[in-house]
Amino acid sequence: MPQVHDEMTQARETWSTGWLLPRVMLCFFVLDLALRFVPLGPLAFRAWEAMLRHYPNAIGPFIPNKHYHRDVSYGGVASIGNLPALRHTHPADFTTDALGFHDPPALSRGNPVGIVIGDSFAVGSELREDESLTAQLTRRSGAYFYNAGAPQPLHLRSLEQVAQRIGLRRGYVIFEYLESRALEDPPAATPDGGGGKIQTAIFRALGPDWTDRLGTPLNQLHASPLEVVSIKVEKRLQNNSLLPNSFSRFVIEEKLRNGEPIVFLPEEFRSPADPRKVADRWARYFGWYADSLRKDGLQLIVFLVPNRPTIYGPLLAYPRDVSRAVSTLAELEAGVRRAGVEVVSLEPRFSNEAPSMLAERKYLYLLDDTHWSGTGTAIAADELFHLIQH
Amino acid sequence: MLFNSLVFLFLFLPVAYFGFWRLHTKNQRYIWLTVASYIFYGTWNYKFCALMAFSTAVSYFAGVGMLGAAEPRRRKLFLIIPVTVDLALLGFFKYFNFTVSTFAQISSWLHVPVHAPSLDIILPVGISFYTFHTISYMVDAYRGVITPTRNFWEFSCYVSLFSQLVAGPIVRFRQVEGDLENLDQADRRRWLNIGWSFFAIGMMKKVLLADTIAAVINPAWKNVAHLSTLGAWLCVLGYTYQIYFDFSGYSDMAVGLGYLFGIRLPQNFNSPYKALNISDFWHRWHISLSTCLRDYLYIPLGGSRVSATWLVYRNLLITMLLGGLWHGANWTFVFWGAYHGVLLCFYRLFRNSWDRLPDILRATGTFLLVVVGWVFFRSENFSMAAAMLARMFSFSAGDLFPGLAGLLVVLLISACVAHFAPNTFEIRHVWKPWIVAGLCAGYSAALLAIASGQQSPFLYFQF
Repeated sequence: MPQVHDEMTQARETWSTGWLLPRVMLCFFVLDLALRFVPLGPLAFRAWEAMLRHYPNAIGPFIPNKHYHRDVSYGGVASIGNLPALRHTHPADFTTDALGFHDPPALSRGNPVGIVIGDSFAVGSELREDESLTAQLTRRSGAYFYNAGAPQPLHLRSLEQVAQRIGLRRGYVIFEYLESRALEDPPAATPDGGGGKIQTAIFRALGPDWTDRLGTPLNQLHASPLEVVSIKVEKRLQNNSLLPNSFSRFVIEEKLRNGEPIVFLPEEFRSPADPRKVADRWARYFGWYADSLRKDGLQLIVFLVPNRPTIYGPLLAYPRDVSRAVSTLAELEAGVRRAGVEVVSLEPRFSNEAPSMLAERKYLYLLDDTHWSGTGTAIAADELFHLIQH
Repeated sequence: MLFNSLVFLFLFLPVAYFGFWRLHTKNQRYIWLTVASYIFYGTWNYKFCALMAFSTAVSYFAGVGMLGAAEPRRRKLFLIIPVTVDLALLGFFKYFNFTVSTFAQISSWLHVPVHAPSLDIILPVGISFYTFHTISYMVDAYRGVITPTRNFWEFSCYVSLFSQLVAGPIVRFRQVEGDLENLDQADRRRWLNIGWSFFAIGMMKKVLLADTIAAVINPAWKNVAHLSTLGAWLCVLGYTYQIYFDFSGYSDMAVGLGYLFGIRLPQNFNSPYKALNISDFWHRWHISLSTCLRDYLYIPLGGSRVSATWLVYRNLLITMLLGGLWHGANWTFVFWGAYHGVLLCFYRLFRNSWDRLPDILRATGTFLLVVVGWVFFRSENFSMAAAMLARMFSFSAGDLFPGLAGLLVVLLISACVAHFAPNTFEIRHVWKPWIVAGLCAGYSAALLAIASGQQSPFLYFQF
């Protein structure tokens, strides 16, 4: 057996592995850590990643007072699956206000009458700025609705701060609630909080202020530009000729009845096992949320948005059963209503309109992304406007 | 926690390393390494730390018991009881469901269906390896090859040492006893270069070669029935190099890590694909396992010093069957072991004729026999193996798979390294600057690949 054990080597020379390799690792580590505090703009293909960075004095999750523009942007799901052929490219603009929300100053009109909270659907991810829910609602109603969308719907305390800063004394809080949120527990630091006993206890002890303050820097540290670069390189190499595309396993490729390809994330198809239990839990949360807002003179409206498969599952070339998703939304709607909170579900209207639009190649959602399209937000704004009017 | 993960490289390793070298006494270092190793192990499933601690304690006390026992029967008792306990644990966690399902299958063939309970057992990572550590320790202590240590922390450090805990090499106490005894005298700088060199080469083997091959062939292995003959051969060749670079890469990293902590681990691979016959292959492949099987199974069975020739073949077959079974609770592993056992018997029978062949023919022939064996090793069941063999030997048209260009390039590099380059134990690890620069570039590429978060576990973790 060849032996190298007794090889006595010293590690002092610069060009030795013992000197150089640990330093390579150190450089890699320092570079990775440092880059985590640098905006991701140059590496991002859309506004979300480029703009998502919390600033100390802002309440919102985005870089305040900044305009992002990119000539060629495309949907996140096609990107996750590394499927360039399925990209639907479009220019992207994203303007934030002083609070760090996607609320372009050009669209604001004096004092708002309402505020929209929710996730990336409420933010208007992947949409033209004039197509976001708040922009459409403002245009439809003639009254200004403020866009306070964030990766996660705002906690009550943050919402109260926003309302105070934008001068909303009385009015509406529209809570955009995506169907897939039913798979999660209501947020911690609430009377009906989930997220594990320890987490809940810590958040309750710290209070909602710190829940937000701690969460955002941790998120910031989580995004590694080196990881982004590495994934980009891998995606380039995995072009099915040099190497197979291993990223395609993260998505589900389907075809609509009209032959148009559409790409989903597997989690979009997931529904809770017990819709009634979930509905009851969220209804209690919304009941508490509405009561708290009422003290500030604000009225809560919960706005249920179906996942893409719930609408397009039956319209696929090989249709899928979406009955559980539909019943989840119905249970949620009934539960929230029972809790005394105004609620509107988009599912019936979307399910009605989607088939006829399919023939015209118009879509309520993007085909390469999880989010809704401008057509979808227009209908959503219409539904909300009718509710508010009545 | 994987060696090829950011949390290991940038958190665990630096803390373990600097903490270790800040300590000065033997016991401090033993305890530090033990604690670090349990943390390392606990990241998979902390509950199984207790199992390892139990196995360690049983073997330690058995060793101490042997020290005080002069009477042969008592000494034997101190061997048999703990070995039985260890084998029972291994048998339960690794082979219970396999045994029960095999029993149920046989009874259904005999038209006497039996309801067999199947337990939801999670196989503790590395149990096959640390059980062999403890058993080899007790057997060696019983045989008087080693003197059992009275220092519990030294022993627990030996059993749980994180660098070789989950996938070997299977280290025998006598192989590291000297370094463990002198752990307080270890010099941090002495093996720094060689340690990092081993670690970097192992990392590149795993991340750049094995994982790249796996990315292409794994999807193809799921679709065996549609492969063309060429595709099937590429798949099997791909796996041949993947498993070698995966496992030898892990072993190199383990050896490198051992050096960084002042402990020299034994060689586990000695260019196995350069072997000129199947016996030579087993002297080069997973050396730590094959020597264990030789010393603790083959030789106690009588080895080749038996009264009749057929007994040698019997011993070879039993050893290889159990060696196959050690790899996993699946009949394909058993068959793989039997296949190699038969090859070893044939070699023994026709040794004189085989050895007269030119080297190139012997090396190629041995390699091809090993390649065919990997079909059974890689296949999830016999139908899959049969389908793959049918595609390989039927000259059928079919699909080639995406990523062929990349696979061919990586296979070419892999073949050159595996068949022609010296292995990590043959090189002196005193590099010219441009080679160090190349190593740094390769290591950086591996780090960047790891940074994408798509790192895959080592194949031998499942055993």
